[in-house]
Amino acid sequence: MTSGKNSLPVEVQKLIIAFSSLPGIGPKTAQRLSYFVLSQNKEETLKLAGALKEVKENLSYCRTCCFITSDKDSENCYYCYEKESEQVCVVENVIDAITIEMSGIHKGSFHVLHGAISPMNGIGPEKLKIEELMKRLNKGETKEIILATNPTLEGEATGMYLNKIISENYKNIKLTKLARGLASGTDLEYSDFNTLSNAFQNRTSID
Amino acid sequence: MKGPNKHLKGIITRCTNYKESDRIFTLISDDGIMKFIARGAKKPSSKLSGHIEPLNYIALYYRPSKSLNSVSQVESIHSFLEIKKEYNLILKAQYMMELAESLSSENDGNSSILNLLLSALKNIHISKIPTLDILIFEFEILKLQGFGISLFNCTNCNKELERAEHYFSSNVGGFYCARCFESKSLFSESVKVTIDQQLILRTISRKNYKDLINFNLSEKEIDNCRKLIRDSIRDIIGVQLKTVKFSDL
Ligand SMILES: [Zn+2]
Ligand SMILES: [Zn+2]
Repeated sequence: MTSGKNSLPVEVQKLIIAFSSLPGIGPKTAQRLSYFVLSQNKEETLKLAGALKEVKENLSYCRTCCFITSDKDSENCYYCYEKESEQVCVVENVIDAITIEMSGIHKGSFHVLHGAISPMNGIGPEKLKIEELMKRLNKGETKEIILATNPTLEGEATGMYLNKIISENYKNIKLTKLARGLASGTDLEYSDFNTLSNAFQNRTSID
Repeated sequence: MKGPNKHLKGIITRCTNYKESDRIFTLISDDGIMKFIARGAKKPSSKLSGHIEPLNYIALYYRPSKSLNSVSQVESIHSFLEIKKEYNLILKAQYMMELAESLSSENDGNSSILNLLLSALKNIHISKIPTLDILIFEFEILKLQGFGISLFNCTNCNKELERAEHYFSSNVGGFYCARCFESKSLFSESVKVTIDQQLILRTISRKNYKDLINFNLSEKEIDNCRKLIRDSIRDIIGVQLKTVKFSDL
């Protein structure tokens, strides 16, 4: 950092610090973004500022499915009301739910865990929205849980944990998980053992 | 400053996503603990994708850099699929990896920690008593890094310890003889250790692992031994490892 930075107006310094707090943005990029904002017309910048403010002030997490909702005081969000509650797709993060929702593949509702079990980072099951999921299952409406945690070590561990407690406590609920295997556009020769082993295990017959 | 490609083998202990599609990971290698960036590894089409996951033993080529070494090529050697199938084993493996991380240093050109970790991970899924394997790993890694626990002599006066209950101090990493213990009134900083527990630790230190199976050890006895070692580890590192509380499951 050059000493020149300190002579910058305090507003700019604050903006640079604010940008640096975003994931994947280092000091250099934060500076570039700040200078861009300075050169941008006022209307555009205020639109961005307004959007940031609205997201924080108007949205919260649904108390049932833990997905984002603009309905702060109700027990159920749009997805809990409108979607079939028989099929619940369990995901790690809001962004995963949005991705699946946008694909239009899943007609049921979601449950967002807000993370994955990660002992190395001190995150155990108690830090995830698992109690909320159990509360939902206690209502008896759910017939199938689709585990859609990421195919990473942490995502798999989370899936195994959920599989264990759900199969032990809710014998009538069908448990499924998203297929693991080769991704389209990849070369077999570069596949890792885990992916290959999954692809072999989940192989399908050719009709 | 682009140097030539270097080659390395090691176990990935942790990964984080960086920017749109990069992954940053920590490797316990045959050259100490190191950090790398794998550019584009999050893209499914990347040749690196899938290989850059914790609990993978990999071989890699990288370009050394002053900041983060950038990986150019990766190949999986062993993926510990047996561990990855079982929740409890994943937690135990993560504890072993965090412990190995915390006792490793950068560029120490020493592959002993890697080898110890590798053999512990390869054995844990076939073990009848995984906690015993963890205890052995804890004991061995401390010894390897020069923090070995002194089991046979008093840490204060060096007198040989007789067959009796003795007091263990995690702070000094050893036992006190009865006399030193009495005269120095070390009650607050030590715990009483039974003859059986001492015997377990001594057998481990002699590497007579087969004898341990004949002892018919209960989980509780092993746990008590682990508690001693765990306290020593905490005192050596200065903090409690995050994975400790998960490793007992
Ligand atoms: Zn909801
Ligand atoms: Zn003594």
